[in-house]
Amino acid sequence: MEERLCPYCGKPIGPDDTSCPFCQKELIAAIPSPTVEKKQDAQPTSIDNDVQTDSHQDISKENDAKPDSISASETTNATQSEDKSSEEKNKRGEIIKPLNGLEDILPIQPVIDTITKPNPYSIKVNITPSEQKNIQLLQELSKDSPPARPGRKSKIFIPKHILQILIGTILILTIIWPILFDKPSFPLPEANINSSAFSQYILSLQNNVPVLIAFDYNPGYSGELDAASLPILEQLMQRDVYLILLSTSPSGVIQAERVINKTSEMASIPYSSPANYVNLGYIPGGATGLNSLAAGIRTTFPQSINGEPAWQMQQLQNVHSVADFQLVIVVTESVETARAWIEQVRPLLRDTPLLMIVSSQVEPLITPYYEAVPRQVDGLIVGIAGGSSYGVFTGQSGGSNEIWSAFSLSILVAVALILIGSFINATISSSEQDDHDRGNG
Amino acid sequence: MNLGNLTMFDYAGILVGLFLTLSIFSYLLGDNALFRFAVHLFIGVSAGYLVVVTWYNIIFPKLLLPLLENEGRSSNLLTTYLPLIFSLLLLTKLVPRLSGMGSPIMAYLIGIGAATAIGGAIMGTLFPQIISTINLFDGQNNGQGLIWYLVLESSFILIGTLSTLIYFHFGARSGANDPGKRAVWIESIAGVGKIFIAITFGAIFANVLIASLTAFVERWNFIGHFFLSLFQS
Repeated sequence: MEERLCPYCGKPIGPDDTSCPFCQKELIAAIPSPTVEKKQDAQPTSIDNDVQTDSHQDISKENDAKPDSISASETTNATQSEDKSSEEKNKRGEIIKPLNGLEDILPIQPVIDTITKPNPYSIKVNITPSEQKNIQLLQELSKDSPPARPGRKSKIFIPKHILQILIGTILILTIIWPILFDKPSFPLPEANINSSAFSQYILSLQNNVPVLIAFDYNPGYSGELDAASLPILEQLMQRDVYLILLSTSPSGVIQAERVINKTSEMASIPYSSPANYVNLGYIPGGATGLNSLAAGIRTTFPQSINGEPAWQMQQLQNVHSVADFQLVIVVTESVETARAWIEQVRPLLRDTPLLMIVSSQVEPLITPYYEAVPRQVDGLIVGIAGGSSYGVFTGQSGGSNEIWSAFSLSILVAVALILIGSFINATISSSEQDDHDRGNG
Repeated sequence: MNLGNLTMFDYAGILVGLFLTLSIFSYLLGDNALFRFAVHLFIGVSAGYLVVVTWYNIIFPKLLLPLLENEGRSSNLLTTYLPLIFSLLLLTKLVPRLSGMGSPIMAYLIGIGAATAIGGAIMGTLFPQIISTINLFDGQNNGQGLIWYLVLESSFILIGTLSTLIYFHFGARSGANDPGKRAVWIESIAGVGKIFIAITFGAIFANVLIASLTAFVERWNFIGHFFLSLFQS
C-alpha cells in the first residue's frame, strides 16, 4: 500500500483524511477547481417577459452544462474557498497517482471556466395589432393563386431520353432533307416596308462616309445574325463607305473581322483594314462603356485593335463624336445590349440614324422602340426572315437563302410537334381527370 | 462548300468544327464524355480568349501604355496613375484580409453603373415611350392624319400599357373584419393586363424558339453541305 502525502506540505497523511493533520488544509480543495462567479445581477436577455430566471437558476443551469463530478467540485469549492488567499487558490496539486503531489499541472480550470451556457432568448415575437393586420392582408392576397396540383403519373409512359431522341431525329431529318434533295422548296419572303425603310438609309450614303457598326453578338447566334447582316454589309461595301467596327462583347471583336472578310469574299469586293475599315475592338463596361463612347469616342478608342492610331485616316478626320457618323448600325441578340444602345447612345446621335439588325428573340421587346413616335430605332431587320426579305428587296443573295427552305420546313415541323404534344397531353390529362372523378364518385 | 478550293488550314477548321458540333449534338443520347469535353473546351477557350482580348484591348493600351508614355510628365498623372491605383485596390478583393480596401472602388463602380442604368432607363425608355403613347393619338405626329384604325390601334396600345401596369399594383385596403382585397375595378383591369402579359410571353417564347431553330438549322446545314461536298468531290 502506498503512502499518501499531503499535496500542500508533503507530509504523510492517512488514507481517509479529508484535511491535512499538519497544515490543516482541505484535501478536496487540492483538485483543480474553477471559481464560480455568482451571477447575482445577471439577467437573461429576452425580447419578452415570458422567460424569467433568477440568479439561483442561472448558477444551477451553468452547472448542468458541465459533467457531474466537476460540477460537484465547483459547488464545494464555491462555498469553501472564499476565505482562502489568492496565492493558495492558485496552487494546484494532484492527489491521484502517478502525478501525486505535483503542483501546477493539468490546468483544467481555465478550460472549464470558459464553458458557460448561452443566454436564453425567447423564440416568441411580439406582434403589434398593426403588424397582425398586415400579415392577414398578405395572406389574403396570396390566396389568389391556387395551390399547384400535385403531379399525376401518366398512363402512357415514354422514357424522356427516347422522346428526346425521337424529336431530335425528326427535326434533323426535316433540316437535312431540303439540303440534300432541294425539295420542298419554299419561296423567299417578299420585300416588306421594313426592308425598304432600312435600305433607304444605306442608299442615301455617299462614298467614303464613316459608318459605325457594332457587332454585339455571341458566336452562338452567328448562324442567324450573319445571315441577316450579310446582304446589308454587301450593300454598304457596294456604296464604298468607310466602316468603323466595335463591340461591347469580347467575342464580337473577332466576329466583326470574320463577317467583314466573309462578305468581302462573297461579294468579291476587296475590303481591307485600315484602307476600308478600322476595328476599334472591345468596349468594356456595358451601359457605362457605351455612355463613355457617346461622351467621347476618340478618348474611349485612341487606338485600333492592331495598336495603331485609330483616327488618322482621311475619312475619319471629321469624326469627333458619335453624331458625326453618317449611320450607326447595331447587330445584336441581346435585349439589354439593344436597350443600352438606345438609352445611352441614341440621345446623343442627333440626326444620325440608329439602325438595328437583331435576333428573332429580341423582336417583341425592341419593336416598341421602332414603332415609337418619334422613332427611337430608325430601321429594324429581324433574324433570318428579315435578312432574306432585305436580300430580295436589294437583289442580293445574302447568306440566308440557302437555308431558307430548311428553316421554313423546320418551323412547320416544330409547330406541328408542339401541337401534337399539347393534344396528346390534353387528352391524357382529361382521361386521367375522368378516372380520378370516377374514383372519387 | 467546295472542298477543292480549301487549304489545309481550312480543312482543319472544318473538321474541328464538325467534331465539336457532333459532340454537342451527342447530348441527344444523354450526358456523355464527348459532350462534356466540348463544353469544357468551349469554356476554356472562351476564358483564354477573354484574357487575350482584355490584355490587348484594355490593360496594355489603356493602363500600361499611358504610364510608359507619361514618364517625367505630371500633366496626366491623374488619368494615368489613378486607374492603376484603383485597379490594384480592386485586386485586394481577392484577399479576404485586405478586401476592405477594395470596397470603396467596388461601391464607386456599382454607383456609377446604377446611375447610368437608371438615368438611361428614365430618359431613354420611360419618357420617350410615354411621349410616344401620347403622340399616337396625334394625327399630325404620325404624319397620316387622324385615321380611325390608327386611333383604334393607339387605344389598344394604351389599354395594354395601362392594364399591364395596373396588374402589378398590389396595394389593398383592409377594414376591421374585412380581409385585404384589391378594389373590384383594379381587379378587372388587372385581368385584362394578365391577358396582355400572357400574349407577350407567348410572343417571346415563339421568337426564342425561332432563334434556336435558326442556330440548329445553320449547324445541320454546315454538316449536310460538308458531307455533300465530300461525296461530290
